[in-house]
Amino acid sequence: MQLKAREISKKFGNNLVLSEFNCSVEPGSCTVVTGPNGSGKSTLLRILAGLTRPTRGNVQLIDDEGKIFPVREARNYLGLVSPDIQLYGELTATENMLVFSQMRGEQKASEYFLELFQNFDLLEYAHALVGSFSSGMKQKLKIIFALSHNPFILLLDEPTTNLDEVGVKAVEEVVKRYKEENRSLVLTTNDAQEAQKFGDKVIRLGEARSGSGG
Amino acid sequence: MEIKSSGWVKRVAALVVKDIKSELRTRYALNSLFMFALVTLVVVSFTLGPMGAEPRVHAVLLWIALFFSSMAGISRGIVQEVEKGTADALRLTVPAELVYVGKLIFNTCLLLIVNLLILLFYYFFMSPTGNGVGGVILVVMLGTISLSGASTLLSAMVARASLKGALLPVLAFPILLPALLSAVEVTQLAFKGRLLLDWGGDLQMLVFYPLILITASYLLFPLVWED
Repeated sequence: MQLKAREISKKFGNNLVLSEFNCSVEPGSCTVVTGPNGSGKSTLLRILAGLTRPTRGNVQLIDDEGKIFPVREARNYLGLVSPDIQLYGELTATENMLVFSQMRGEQKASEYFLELFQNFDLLEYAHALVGSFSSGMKQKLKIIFALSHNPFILLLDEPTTNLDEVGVKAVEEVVKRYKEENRSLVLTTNDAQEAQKFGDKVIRLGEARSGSGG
Repeated sequence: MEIKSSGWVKRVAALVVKDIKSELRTRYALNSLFMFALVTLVVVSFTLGPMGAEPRVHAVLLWIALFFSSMAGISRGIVQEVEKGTADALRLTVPAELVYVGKLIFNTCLLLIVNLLILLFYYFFMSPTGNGVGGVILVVMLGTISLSGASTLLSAMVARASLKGALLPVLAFPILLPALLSAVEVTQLAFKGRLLLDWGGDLQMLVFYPLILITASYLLFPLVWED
């Protein structure tokens, strides 16, 4: 499964955040997007996930048989971790995962999520209210939420922010596993070391307010 | 996204159950609805005093209380999703049409419970004369479906505005006016104890207007809900 962004431009009022951005996310690869604050990294990921409509251009998912889906019609193939996304604070971590799974039309039991909680060192908080979580724990839960339906393409907006050592290691494992399973990732970061470690292709945004890759 | 008919009932049910669980734990909408209704009814009861009023006045006062208390609480469901940042998680998980159906069912159930309780309080505080309680209950239930049908779509529209609370009644009033006028007319007939057969065209309006509202809202909701 391939994700293609074609000539994406995004304007907020008079502020041009992205200009004619092109990129193709190939299976088995991790594309890293870097750039200074305000360069449009988060906006790009929201557009790739179909949450924000680009001013111009389009995003398409192409399956192995060459069938093309507009991204808004194929969100179940995607997982997104973003600072804008929050989970329900009045529900427990397990309740959150179960309710989103049921709303997707899946029939997963709570045991399915325990392994994910274990990987991110959240097992003992599985039945605690998310509203009582620290920022780092919420970030871990957002990553679990993005992984919970085992998507083909994972979009990670600064995934290691607020994470402890266990969390960072778990993210590294996820990136490694995705590459091995011939799935794709797009990851944004400001950390040059992280970009080098994870990225098969690095796209830098913010230079002349545009970026292009692939 | 393709909505498989076999799965959408369970998906909508999951959304409704989630909303019920969240509401029972936070009581955002319930508290707003009850407090507004109670204050309105107490003020009206003190103003009218023991002298009572004509059935038409009772009908108008009842629907003012129902309309404004509904507007005070019902927007909370979708507004809370946007304000707390959970709307994006919902957008990634559930197609917009199913979100509308789920929110509509939850809002209708919530409003039915609260509006029937408001009616009970109304009888307690105002003691309207007449023996048409069954008819009044029926009108309140039909009017409630119109209220939730319109406000579910409109609350998604106002969720990103800064003046959400003030904007919803202003937007909803013209859309709900035909249903409200019929509801007032039928309510006063019901207060007088007149039977269903005497309600005529206003009853038809109360039955068919919400159907039109809900169909139009179902079609328009994806445009409002998505960016």
